[in-house]
Amino acid sequence: MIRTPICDLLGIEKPIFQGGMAWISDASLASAVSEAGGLGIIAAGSAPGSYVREQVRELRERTDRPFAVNLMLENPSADEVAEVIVEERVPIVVTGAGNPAKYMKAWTAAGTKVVPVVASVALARMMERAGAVAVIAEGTESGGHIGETATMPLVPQVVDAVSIPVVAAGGIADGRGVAAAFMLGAVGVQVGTRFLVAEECTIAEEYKDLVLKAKDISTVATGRSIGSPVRCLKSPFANRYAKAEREGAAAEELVALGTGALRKAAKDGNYDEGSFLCGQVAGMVTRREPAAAIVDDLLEGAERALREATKWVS
Amino acid sequence: MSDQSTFERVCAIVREQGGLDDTELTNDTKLADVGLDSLAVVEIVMSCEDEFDVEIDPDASPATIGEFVAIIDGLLEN
Repeated sequence: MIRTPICDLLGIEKPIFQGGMAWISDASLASAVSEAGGLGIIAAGSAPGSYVREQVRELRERTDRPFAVNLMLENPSADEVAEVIVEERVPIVVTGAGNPAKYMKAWTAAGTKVVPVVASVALARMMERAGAVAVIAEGTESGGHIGETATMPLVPQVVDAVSIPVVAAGGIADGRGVAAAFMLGAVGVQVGTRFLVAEECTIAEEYKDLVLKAKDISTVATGRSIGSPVRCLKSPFANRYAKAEREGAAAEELVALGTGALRKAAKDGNYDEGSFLCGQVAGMVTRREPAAAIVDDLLEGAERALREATKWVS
Repeated sequence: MSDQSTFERVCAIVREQGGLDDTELTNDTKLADVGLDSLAVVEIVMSCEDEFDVEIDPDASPATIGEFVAIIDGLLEN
């Protein structure tokens, strides 16, 4: 059994977070992960407050265990979602794609624990000072919005810079990755890509098939030219977007090109027009299974790896 | 107190952060226009805190060199 300080801090049984993925991480997936003892996370994505409220209430009908809401700070309704988080007394909020400083006071006053996703040491330090109870250090191997630094160099540098617990994300899909994250000083992991194929994940079957077929070099990061890099599977959409970037398309043109592409992937499984967000670990994801089985496999694998890790030491 | 102005010291930090030795910087220069993304701005905030021994409100999110200078001068006066 593996239990770490993040478990006591957040009232969870197992130090596994399920990544908040826009149009993907809904009450169905998040409640299954929370019910399995991990931290299920509902993603607000670019949705309005009413969607988040509905999903939070649905999750609470399925489990009474702790969960989180992920607020992507580029969401046009971010202010409204931030208020819903307070009104619904969401126990934990995870933030992504930016700096949540302006909401931190209201959330901490309401008793909501704030755990920002950070892609640099400076942002981690700033978040600690602003009242975050932990940070998720997310490397560029992840799917979705990413920074530039990879998990291996990012996590230990963040661990050294802050005194709050650090959760590692990016490039983790099995117990070996979890064990490696612990070796880097993390006390928990956030996993997204592997949960894409969980039975409780409600995305289109075509999306799941693409993840299951993906290999080590199947993803690409687009959007660097507009300061908002995003990792997804190579696809007709990703190719068109990358070509437009190479040809120097204006920011507005690129934003317009991307509008609706996440929904087309997650809900319609539209191979030609969808943006299939996915991490570099996709090649390690080989089977559909219940979320609880994924949580347990991650931890059992980590336990085996950690026990074996001493074999070279005399 | 350094002989350099706040503006010059902020510019030095911005140049170092962005590798911008050959770029002209003015009070009106927008950080985004010289290729600095949100993570780089956070980096500059933290570097300015160390340089000037002040604590910048994390909610401030300055967008231009001039806004950085104004925030820091305001904190130094107090």
